[in-house]
Amino acid sequence: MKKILTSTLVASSLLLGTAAASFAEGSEQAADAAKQDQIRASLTGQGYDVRKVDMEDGMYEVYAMKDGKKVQLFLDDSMKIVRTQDIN
Amino acid sequence: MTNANAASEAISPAGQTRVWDPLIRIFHWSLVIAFTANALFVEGDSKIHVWIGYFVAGAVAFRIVWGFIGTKYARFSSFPPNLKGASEQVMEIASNRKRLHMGHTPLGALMIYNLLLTLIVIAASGYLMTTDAYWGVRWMEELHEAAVFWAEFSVALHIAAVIFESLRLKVNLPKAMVTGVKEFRN
Repeated sequence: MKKILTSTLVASSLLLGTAAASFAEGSEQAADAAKQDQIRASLTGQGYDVRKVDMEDGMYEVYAMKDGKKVQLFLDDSMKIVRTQDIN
Repeated sequence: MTNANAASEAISPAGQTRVWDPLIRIFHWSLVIAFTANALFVEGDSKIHVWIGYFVAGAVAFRIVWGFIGTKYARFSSFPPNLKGASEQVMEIASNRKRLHMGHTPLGALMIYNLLLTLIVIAASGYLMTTDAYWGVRWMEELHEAAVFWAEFSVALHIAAVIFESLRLKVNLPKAMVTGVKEFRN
């Protein structure tokens, strides 16, 4: 009985470790506040309704709406839009 | 006591009982594949992630319907949420007594309701994240992620419990979910 309990506990903690690791890795980072404000201001001026600014792979990832459409924008360090993706 | 009677009535002389129908088994294992894929491997903002999510929502919807009109052990009425039964099962484990259950055990039943509810939250929040209203809305994303984390924790606990109960009761529960037959050894 004790053996069963121990082996079960070991197996479950391994599983939990995997789950926790995937949780940590899966989440994008929010961009720092000052930069977020800058990006928001700039994009709002260009007609975007900015919903969220994240950091992903060293780029700023922006979730926004424009002309009633969902878009995802990727900006580099100098805040230049390097990629725009329409989401249907 | 009705439980024990129902149990003994269903055991065949060889100690084998057909408990899980094919649809339940397909539901279970396709959910395993779909959830693992979306939680661990597929990018959250990809189209495939969304399609797998729709599949999970459909599977859960099927399971709920099947819980009312399905085969004997698939019906919710055969495993109602039962806290008293669950605490009895804990006592039974603690005091090293064994009682065999044909279908879901009381603790197993609680896990099933937990997982179904959690999957509904995941699918609903995931869908809403794709709508204009909740596109890029952070709290919806956080709800989605928190529910996924809770589901992963629950799955880990579920697997641990299945291993534990299989060893304790000498019934190969994972195999039963493949073949549909519970084999009781003495």
